[in-house]
Order: sequence, then C-alpha cells, then structure tokens
Amino acid sequence: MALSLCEICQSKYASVWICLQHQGVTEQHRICTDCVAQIAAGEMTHFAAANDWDIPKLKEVLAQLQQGWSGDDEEDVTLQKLQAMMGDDAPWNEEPDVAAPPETQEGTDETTLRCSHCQTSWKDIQEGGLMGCPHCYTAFADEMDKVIDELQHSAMHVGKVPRFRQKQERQAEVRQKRQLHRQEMLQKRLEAALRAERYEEAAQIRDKIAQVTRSLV
Amino acid sequence: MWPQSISTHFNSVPRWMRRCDSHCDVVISSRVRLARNFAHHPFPHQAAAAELVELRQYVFELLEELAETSNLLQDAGILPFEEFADWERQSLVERHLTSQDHIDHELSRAMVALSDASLSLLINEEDHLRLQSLLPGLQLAAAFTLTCKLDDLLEKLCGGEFAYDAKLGYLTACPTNVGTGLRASVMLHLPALEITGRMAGAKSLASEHGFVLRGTFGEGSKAHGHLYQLSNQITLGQDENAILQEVEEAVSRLIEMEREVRSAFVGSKSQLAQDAVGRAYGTLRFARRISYREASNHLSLLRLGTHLGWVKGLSHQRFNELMVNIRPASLQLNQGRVQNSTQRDEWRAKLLRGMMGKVRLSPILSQSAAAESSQDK
Repeated sequence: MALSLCEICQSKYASVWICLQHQGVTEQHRICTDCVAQIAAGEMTHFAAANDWDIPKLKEVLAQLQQGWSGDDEEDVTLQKLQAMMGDDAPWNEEPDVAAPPETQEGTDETTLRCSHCQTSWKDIQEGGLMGCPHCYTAFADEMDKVIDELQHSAMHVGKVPRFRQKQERQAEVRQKRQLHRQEMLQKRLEAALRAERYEEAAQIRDKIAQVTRSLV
Repeated sequence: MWPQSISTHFNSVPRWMRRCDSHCDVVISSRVRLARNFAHHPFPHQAAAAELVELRQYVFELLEELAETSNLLQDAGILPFEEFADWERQSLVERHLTSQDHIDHELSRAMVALSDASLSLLINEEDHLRLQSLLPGLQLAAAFTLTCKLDDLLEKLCGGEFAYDAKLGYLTACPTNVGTGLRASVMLHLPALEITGRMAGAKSLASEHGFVLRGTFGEGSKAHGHLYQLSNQITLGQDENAILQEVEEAVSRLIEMEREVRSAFVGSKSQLAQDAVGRAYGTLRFARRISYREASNHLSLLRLGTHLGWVKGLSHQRFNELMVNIRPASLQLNQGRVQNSTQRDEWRAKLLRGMMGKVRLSPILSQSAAAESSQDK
C-alpha cells in the first residue's frame, strides 16, 4: 500500500484503507490507526459527517476490525486482513469484467470512439479525466471543444510558442511573402500580355497564377 | 549529473525557506510549474512501464547534454524514486517538491533538482515533464524566468519534440493544464483569517477571480499551520505574463485582508491573540509529546506573534525549517531511521523544545504573566 497521510489528522501515515460500498458508490478512505480508534469510540463524528461518510457502515466495519486488532501497533493492520473482513462487497473481490472485444476502428457511437495512437476511448477520458496521449486532442477534437470551453473559457492559445515552431512559422511567412510577390509579378505580366494581344502567353501566365493562388490557400 | 541520495543531496535550508523581503509577513514562497510532454508518447498514466523507463532514461541523457552547455543545472542531482524508501520519497512531498501521486508510482518516476531546490524537473508525473521553480517570498516572475530557460534548453535539445498545437498550445494529460501548461502558486500564511473564521470569504474572493485557494499540499489537502496555496486555474487564452500578473493581484488582495485582521489583534482583540500566542509558546516550550497537526498550528501562532511584535527569535527561515522538519517523513529523514508514531511525537517535541530555547516572548506577554503571578501571591 502506498504511503500517504491520514485523511483526517493529516499528521500520521495512513495505515488503514477502508473501502465502503454505499448505494452502488465505492468510498475509499485512508486513515491512521489513532483516528480509526477515535471514530470507533464514537468520537470525531464531525469529520465523518463533513465528508459525508456512511457512519453506521463505517462503525460496523471498524467493530469487525477491532476484534482482530489491538490498536497499539500501526503495522498490525494489513490490507489483507481488511480485505478478508470486508467480505464479498469489497471491490477487490469483484470479478473482472468480461471485456468486449477491443474496438479496432472508430465507431459511430461517441463512447466507442478510440484514439488510433493510444487506443484510449472517449469513455476512458470522461471517466478518468485524463487524455491518453497528445493525439487524443485531435481524435476527440469535437468533444474536447466543449470540454475545453467549459474548463478554460477559451479555445485559443495565446502564450509561449516553442522556438522550433516559431522558426517554422517564420519560414512559412517568408514563403507566403515570396508567393504573393510572384503572384503580383505574374499579374503584371498577364496584363502586359493581354494589352499586346499575346493570348497564348496570357493563358500560360493565367495558369501559373492559378497555381500560385492554390499554394497560398 | 549523478544519482543522489535524498538525505544528502539537498541543502539543509532550501532556497524557498530563506529570508526574502517581498511581503514576507504573509507570503512564504512562490512556485511556477510548466507541464510539457513528448509528442509521440502516451501520457504517463497510459504508458507501459518499459516505455516510461525508456523515456526517463532519454530525459537523463538530455540533461547530461544540457549540463555540458549550460550552468543552469550545475549541481543538479538525479533522484530515481525506486532507489528510495517510502518515507524518503514522502519527504519530497513534505518539502513541497513533488506530489503524492508522483511518489506513489515509484517505478520509472524520478526527479532532478538543484541542491537548493530552486529549480527541478519532475519526470513522469501526470505529464512527462514538469519544470518547476520554487523561490522564497512573492517572486513569480523570477520563478517563471528560471523554468522558461530550462524549457527553452530542453526543447532545443530534444529537437522540438514537445507536444504542441497551434490552437491549443502545449498539450497536457489533463485538459485543465492545456495551453501554457503554467501553474503559478503562492504559499500564504493566513492565521488571522482562519482564526477569525474569514477563510470562506478569502476562498470566494479567490474563486471569483478564477483562482483556487487550497490546503498546504495543494489539491485535495487541508491547511496545516494556516498555510494555504493560491494558484491559477485557467491556462488557456491568456499568456504567461498575464496569468502571473493576475495571480499577484489576487495575492495582494489576500495580503491586505490578512493584514487588516492582524491589525485588530494589536487593538480590540489583543487579549484573544495574546492568549493564543502565549499558549502556543508554552506548549512548544514544554510539551514532551506532540502531533504534527498540533505543533504546526502552534508554530503558526508564534509566527503571527513575531509579526505582532510579541515574539523574538523565530526568523522566517527558522519557521520554514521547523514547519518541514517536524513532518513525519522529514523527522525520520533527519534521524536516519524509521520511527513509530509515538517515537515521532516524542522526537518532534524534543526538537521543538530545543528550538524554543532560542525564542523569547516580549515584555507584553512575559511581564504581564509575571505581574499576575506576583499579584496572586
């Protein structure tokens, strides 16, 4: 069990991991043995109430827990003991879901949509709150537009641009300026060709202008 | 740059604990974090352990290369988490250098930090990289400059591999960080607001301006010793300087609120405050066993007493050192051995008694007590 501070006193290491199933919702709490003892003794009920804990259920579990626990040594209470006492309701005793065959392509239902790079589904993102990889932002662009707008109240980055990106942008700008200049020169040549009634040459220039215009778009 | 031991790598007094004159009566420290990710790898929570180990090794190599061309990480040490005991890693959280989630996943996670902890790099936390600067007082701009330098150097070395999108900016595991990837936070000491029940007002002021006021260890934590962290929530649609400026403005408002309430402690409410400070001193001076929670609240009151002119000998640096050194894992780190809860409470009390020997109460507290005592006789 990973080391973390007690949720209640925040001053001792949590050595008891309590997992409660309440109205279909799993509550997990990491608390120290001192606070466990105090709750079991009917104290600190305000903490339980403030956190909306299921006090009767908690007391029931703690009573079972105390039968096999002296309360003196933090190390006496192991996760295995708790697992055994929590019975069949504990989430670690649940049978693993028989997973449906993994999606190999993007489905039409948005919950089955998957990122082609990391295979994260939209459902995973909704449940976990985290993207699977940077490509997920493109894979779920439509869905993320709404989420990002709600979270950030904006849809456009205006901060720092990576230097390599700045270089790319500068190069693109130079290329565009060159093309615009070329387009301008070709336009002048076209007008001159038309004035001189060199229609064959004018047609060729017109094709070149169209080509340059396409590259600008 | 070599793998280091957590207990020996860091200076006994990290830079953020040292004296700083910028609003030091209320502001403890400033932190700036930049989240960065490699474009073609899954985020840490989604990546296989082997991929994360490879990625971490790649970052170590980048940093080796960086050390050859820049002095920025001159005395940095590499701290691969799997090489340390739980309580050693926990001490990094207690020193505000990383998060609980980061140390909970020991394999393939690491931290690279200067010995004064002013600049560090968290590897494979929620994002592949989190570049972090932690400085004393209100110094967000300076902290941002440091992290930005590191960001530029790393980006150059990795050939622009950072995940970036022209519309959304830097792409992060959590969409709450997308854009600048910047989280600016300031640690504030707000005893007067908390004691007088004004924290709800302070929190709503923060949230009205788009910020959040959290507990001592950030998200999901409670405040210990009346220490709170104010940080930005919006990372997209504003540039870095605008974010930092808005955080500083919100901090200034909270400083004003705290100072206003403190001023009442030397006026109409002086009896209440003197009683609290005197009790705090007495407990820390003579207790034989004390929990972290109790000790941190008493230390906080002594710091308040220092600013009200009633306590001498508890400098900002000493307060900051004590607030960290009395935490469970730090106590063990300094002792070099694992202790049970009771032993820690006893050792904490001993440490504090020693320190309180250097602390003196001003005549307004010590003489009034002595005078009352002689009157009783």
